[in-house]
Amino acid sequence: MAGLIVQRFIQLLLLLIGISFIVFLSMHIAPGDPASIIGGPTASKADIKAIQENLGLNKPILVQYWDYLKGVFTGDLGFSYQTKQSVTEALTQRFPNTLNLAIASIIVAVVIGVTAGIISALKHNSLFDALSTIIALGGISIPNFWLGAVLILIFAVNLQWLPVGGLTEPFWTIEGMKQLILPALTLGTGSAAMIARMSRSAMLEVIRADYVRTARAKGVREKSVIMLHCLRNAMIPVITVIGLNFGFLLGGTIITEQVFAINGVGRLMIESIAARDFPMVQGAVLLVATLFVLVNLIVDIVYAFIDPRISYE
Amino acid sequence: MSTETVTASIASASRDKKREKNFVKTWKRLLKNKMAIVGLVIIALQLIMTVAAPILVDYDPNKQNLALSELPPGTDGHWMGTDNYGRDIWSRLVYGARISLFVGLGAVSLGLIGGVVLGLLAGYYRRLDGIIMRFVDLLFAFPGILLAMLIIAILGTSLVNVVIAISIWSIPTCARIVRGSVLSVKKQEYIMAMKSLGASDGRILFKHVLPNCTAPIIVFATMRMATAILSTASLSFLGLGAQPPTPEWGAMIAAGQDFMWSSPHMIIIPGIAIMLVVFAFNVVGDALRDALDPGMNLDK
Repeated sequence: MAGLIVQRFIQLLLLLIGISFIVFLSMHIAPGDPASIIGGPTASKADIKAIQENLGLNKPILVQYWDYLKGVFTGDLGFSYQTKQSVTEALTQRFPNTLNLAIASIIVAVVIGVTAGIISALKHNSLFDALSTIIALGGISIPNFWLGAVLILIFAVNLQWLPVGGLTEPFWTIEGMKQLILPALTLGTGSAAMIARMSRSAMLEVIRADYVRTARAKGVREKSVIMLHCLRNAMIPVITVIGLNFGFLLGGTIITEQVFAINGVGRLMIESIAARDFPMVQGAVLLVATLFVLVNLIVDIVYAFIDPRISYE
Repeated sequence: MSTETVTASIASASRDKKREKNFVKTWKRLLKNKMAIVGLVIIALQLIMTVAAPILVDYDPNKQNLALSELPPGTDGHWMGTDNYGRDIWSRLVYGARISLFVGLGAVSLGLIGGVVLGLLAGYYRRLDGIIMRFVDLLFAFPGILLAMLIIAILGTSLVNVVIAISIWSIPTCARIVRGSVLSVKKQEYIMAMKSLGASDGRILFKHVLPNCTAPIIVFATMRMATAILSTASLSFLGLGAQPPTPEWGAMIAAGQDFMWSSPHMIIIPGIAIMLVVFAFNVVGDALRDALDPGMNLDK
């Protein structure tokens, strides 16, 4: 197991270097000279040259990348072209909202998805199964920005049960929780559908396995068969799907934050793309991609822990 | 005609017949799935809307008439109502179907070209496998929408750039699927036989390996259509794809957001359209997977 973890960490490090290189390169491929953008339309040639020298933009590209990488490891991601604010500072301010939203959404997705999937499998070919399968397919197909708008329309505008948007209050307060419900439902629905489908098929496969038939033939109580023999084994692939979905939810927060006007990393990214504020876009992409691969690494390790049959040799 | 030519043409004819038989079998299995039929009907409707758009609508989708703004559905002459600029929503929906299909097809086709070529090379040539798959792993390190946004940040906001972004996002998954199929196909005896007969790598890859990898590629392409249509709508909603006044479904929802209190139909109608089309490609993709590989279907 220790070997596996070390091996995975080395792979992660290489992957992070690769991600940082792509993100760094994106700034150089993008049209427009950063020095001209910073200097503005009134800057003279001498001003632009001075900015280039100041930022090290006249150095060879690999040297610039090395400087950038050193900055990444020391937490210095540059500064915004627009607001001149430090990118690290802006991300630190906005990240808690993104993380809260992603965590709340995965909780929604797991509770709804796993429950629906298991009941569907246990009541295979029943009305519940048929309905839940159709709803799950619908859930995957719903555009979450549209779902968010419809939920606002129903629960915030018409019924006035929940606030329209923003995560302005801490999530542990009643108001904060209320603010989190609609965005979490919006973002979690697609993942809940995927988890439900995976839980159902994993459970169906396990229910038909020889060892389950043997357990039943030996007279083990149905509850024990389901809880001890089926659920434990069926959950192995489901955990992978949950982990992967958490990663995707981090990406999905971008859209949900926009719908609910939440000041998170995703919204910051969209504003920065519109303003062509590349350091901010780079910082946000780097942060989300890093978290995404970290979550995948954790899933990989957890997967090996819960299923001793898995070998990465 | 030499004996070899005759034998080759007989073999080719029998292969064609077998392919036709397989196609009919798959089609019959597909039609047994009720959900797939629903999906196929929705896709057919979208195709009709795409082809016959000028016949189906009475108004220019971009023509504004402020005197008729925010008419509710069911109004005479505007059965789906109008938006805040008085534009006919049905006309915009029909032309939006065209955009959605073209963007989806464009993104999936480009993604397939890239993914198939990389997958074939990685699966067939061991030396290239490591390099290509590490590149693929790197692309996998970005959540899809994030990768698309990074590409749009570089290229600028437009529908064409959305097609490019979604196609690049599709490449890693496609490459992995094709590589997996190639790895199993290349061990088959007939590939060894072709090699020993001196066939070139290009001929083996495109004439013998690729046709035997088509099943997973077809399933992937169908499912990816759903993702591409959904992502195009999402990116346009965020203002990174279609720009006003293009009647793109996601952009229609974005524009309708400010009026959803007074005219909820402005967001409900295009949202349902997106959902139906994405649902259709998802269920057809699911059914195709079951039809092409009956062993995978757990329900049977």
